[in-house]
Amino acid sequence: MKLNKDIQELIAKLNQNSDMKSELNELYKIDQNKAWRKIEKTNKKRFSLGRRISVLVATSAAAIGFLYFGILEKPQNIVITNKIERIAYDKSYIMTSKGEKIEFETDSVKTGLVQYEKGHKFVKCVAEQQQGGIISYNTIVVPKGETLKVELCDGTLVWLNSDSQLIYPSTFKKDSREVELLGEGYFEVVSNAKIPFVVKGDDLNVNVTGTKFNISNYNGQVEKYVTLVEGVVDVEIDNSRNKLIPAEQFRYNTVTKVVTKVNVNPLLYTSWTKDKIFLKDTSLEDIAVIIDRWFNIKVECSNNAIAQELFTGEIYRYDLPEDIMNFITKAANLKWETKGKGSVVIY
Amino acid sequence: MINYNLYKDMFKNYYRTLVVFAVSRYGVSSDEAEDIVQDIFIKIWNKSEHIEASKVKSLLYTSVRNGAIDLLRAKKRHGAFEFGSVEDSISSNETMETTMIDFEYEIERSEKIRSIYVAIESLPKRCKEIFKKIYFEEKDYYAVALEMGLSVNTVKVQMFRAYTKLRNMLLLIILFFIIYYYL
Repeated sequence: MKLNKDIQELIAKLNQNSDMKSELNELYKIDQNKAWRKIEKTNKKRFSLGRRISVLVATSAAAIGFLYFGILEKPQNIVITNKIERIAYDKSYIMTSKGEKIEFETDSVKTGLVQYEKGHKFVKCVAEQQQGGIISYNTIVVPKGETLKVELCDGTLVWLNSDSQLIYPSTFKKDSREVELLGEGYFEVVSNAKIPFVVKGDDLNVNVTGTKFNISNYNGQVEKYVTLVEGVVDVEIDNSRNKLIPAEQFRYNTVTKVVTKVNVNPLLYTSWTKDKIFLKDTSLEDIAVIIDRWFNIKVECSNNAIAQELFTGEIYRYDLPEDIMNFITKAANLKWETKGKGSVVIY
Repeated sequence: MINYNLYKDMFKNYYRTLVVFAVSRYGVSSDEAEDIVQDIFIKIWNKSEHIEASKVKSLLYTSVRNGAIDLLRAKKRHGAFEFGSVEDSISSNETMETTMIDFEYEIERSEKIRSIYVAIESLPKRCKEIFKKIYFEEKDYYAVALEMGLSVNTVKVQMFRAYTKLRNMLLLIILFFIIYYYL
């Protein structure tokens, strides 16, 4: 092996030139992969509503001074061209054991059973006197487009998400407090070690004494999950018991019957109680389900590729559905139009 | 129009150089520099269909300059500004023209380093690894051979390959670079 002259020269130059060497060394100190991961994450489609977008644009424009290049556009006022005709939805109501239907919202309700102040979205249940040991069950129904906060007679608070039902006894038994939930609810259970609190879903039961947790148990939902915020819960499924610690999520796949436990940020799964849903790499298909529940609007995707597009952002309950559609389609470079009453199509 | 592959290459080829450019020319911290450059790449992707590939180089450098200057100005407003930054020379009595010439010169210098970096990066994996150990970490052939479980001769051969490839890629640049910027 013989080094020819210019290679020797190159070696000499490379080695003598300490400034160049140290500068190259500086380059290699930078964690390029980490930066790339960060960029890729941000680049995944994002959308967010007007006020947030404009804040973002204003601050980054000040900080980065990017306006020279027209790379950032001014916040655009989105003109609503399509107006979605909404289907009037039902009000939340309670179906008593006697088959009596009492609608909330229309009037203040103050019966022996529940108390409700008009416009408050808060129902206080009153314990009923047991008659001859027979326990009767009441059902609180929250339709699509509505939410409701319920205080049970033991003081436990339950937030019911849209399209959910809570079945509870007029009075709790002496040894256990059992309720049944269809749909999604967030529970803040009043601690009582002697009388455990049980939430029954169709596939899983959640046993607790005093704790805060969220359970998502919609009909037809493939993956049901329980997210623990505080305390301890015991998720019971097919006679096996699974303890959760805070920030853990228990997932049950109703198709494959597979059970998994993952660590999550509980805020992401409870923010709906504060009228906000965070999306994190959420597919349009799943967003459509959320929009259907919250706004009672059917969102159709013209093909499967569109349905699988991922989004990161947030949806507020008070957002106009038209705005949401505009931002989603703008972020993914798609279009949308209304398709009859209470229904839109994205293409 | 920038597609994903081009974007990724752009990142690989420019990211580190631009961060060092921001640090050495504008005196921002390396964390700040990374934030600035990451922001630029994110914005480029958002506007990828409107950006011409041929204008990427000047777009990147000018964006880094704007980002760094804005950051320094913001800091100055908040009273956290340290003296001795290049920003002083830009805002002081120097004319815009000399600043621009200076800027062009700095870009050229940075680009030279970048071409060496890209050349090193384009070496085959093992060849690159050996080259970096010997050149940057200043290890000798024997130490590298021991570390990597290779024979000393293999290390020598790989080094020879590295030098040959580097020479082919950038002999002119290096000679030019050394003559003009360091002699």
